[in-house]
Amino acid sequence: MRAARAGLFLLIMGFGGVVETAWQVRERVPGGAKFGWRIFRGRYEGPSFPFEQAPQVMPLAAGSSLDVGNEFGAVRVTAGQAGEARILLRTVVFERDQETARQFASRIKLATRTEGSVLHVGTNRQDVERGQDVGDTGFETHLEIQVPEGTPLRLRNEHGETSVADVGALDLEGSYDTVDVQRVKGDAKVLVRHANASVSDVGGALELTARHGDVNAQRVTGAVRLDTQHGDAELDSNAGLVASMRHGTLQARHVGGALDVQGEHTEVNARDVAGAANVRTTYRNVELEDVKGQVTVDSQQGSVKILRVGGSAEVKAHHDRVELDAVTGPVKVVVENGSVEARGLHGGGEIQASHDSIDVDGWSGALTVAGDNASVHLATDKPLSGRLDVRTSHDGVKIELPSNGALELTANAEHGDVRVDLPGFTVTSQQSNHASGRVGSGGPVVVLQTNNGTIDVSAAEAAQ
Amino acid sequence: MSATERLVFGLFLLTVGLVWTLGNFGLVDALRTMRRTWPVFLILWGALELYRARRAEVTR
Repeated sequence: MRAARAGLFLLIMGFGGVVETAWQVRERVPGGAKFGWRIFRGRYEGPSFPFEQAPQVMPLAAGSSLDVGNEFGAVRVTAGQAGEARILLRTVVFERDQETARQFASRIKLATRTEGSVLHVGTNRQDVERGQDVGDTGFETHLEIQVPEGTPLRLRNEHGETSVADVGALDLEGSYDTVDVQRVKGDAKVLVRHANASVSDVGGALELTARHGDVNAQRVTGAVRLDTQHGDAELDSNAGLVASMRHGTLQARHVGGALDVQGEHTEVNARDVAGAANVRTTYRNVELEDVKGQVTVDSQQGSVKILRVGGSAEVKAHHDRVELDAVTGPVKVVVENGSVEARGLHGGGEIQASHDSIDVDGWSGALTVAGDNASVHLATDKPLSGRLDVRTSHDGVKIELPSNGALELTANAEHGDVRVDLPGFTVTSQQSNHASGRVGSGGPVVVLQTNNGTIDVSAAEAAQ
Repeated sequence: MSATERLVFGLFLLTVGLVWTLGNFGLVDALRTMRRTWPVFLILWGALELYRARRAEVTR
């Protein structure tokens, strides 16, 4: 009972201490009042009153560009009439009553100027904030701008939604609220912080940088250069993708060129890649499907799954499993402390794995398998078309080969047994831990070797 | 935990949650309100303790 009392007393006093401390910080930290401590999740909170000013129309000659700067408010840029820029400023003032807010709002103005062929649009926020009587009044400035379709745009906005459509080349930075970009005629460069971004229908290349937010980019005619940290990325249809990611998930579909991903703590999931795919990541999984070119994957502490590859595949992985299916070119797989499961290796190749298992179902060409404390199971229903070399240790080897194929077999099991049960196998020498011989008149060489394990060679069902 | 403490604790949670919610809706300045009102819980608790002691004395 005493403990409960003491706990409740400490709870109330602790709560009071936190509240008092927060209050003192709010009142005494320089700039605290200026920026209004009512900012919550990047926005002002509290009673507010909107005001709208008459739109300002300015001439904008062909070939001119637009430069917009704003803070604490939404910016929307869309296509308007040719030869002019139409700018509407809507303010929202956070004050206790409408009249006070109206007086404050009357001081907020559009700030426009033309330098050469560039029209600069902003507000006099900094002048207003420098005023002595601002106190903790917060205010938002929302800009709605219409410019001729295809006008190049440079835009900087913080703490407000940013929406852009039907512009020319784009250079955009936004933070603390969503960014939406649609229909850019030229290249686009988009940087977003602490918010999500969506970009679609870019006529040129796209450079997309994000921190602490998710990004989505669709239908980019050119290549995409992606740089993200602490956020996921979803991309569909582009001419190529170079991505640098930390702490997120990449989903890429319909990459028209090469895919290059350098990730840390990044999951990679890509489909329909027209070129080569090069992925390096850690601690998360990699899944690639339908890659026409060569695949190179280096994954640490994450599984790798590669399906339907038109070229070769080179995979390095640690502490997880690797799965391959339908690889046209040769494979080179090295897995430390992980398993390999492969089907349809049409170009043969080399597989190494340790402390787990290697399982291959169907291959063509020469195949070399090296295990270390790993079991090996290989099966194919087609006659061998290349040399098969299998070496492992401290585990068994099980091989299922077609009964209608010729081969020359040598199998050695140090401290283990060798069993060969192939129709038509002619023994040239045999002991309990050794067997050599051939099927038919001899064919591809098969060398099997292990220690402290059993080698078992048997017939698989013939291909239909 | 006695009935008094449970009452104080419940009112404490209720009030803090209410003020916080109103603050999130922009209807009050949550920090200002909590800063002004938090010692009320000590007063309330003390008053309830006195009431309980008085009642125990009367019933004895």
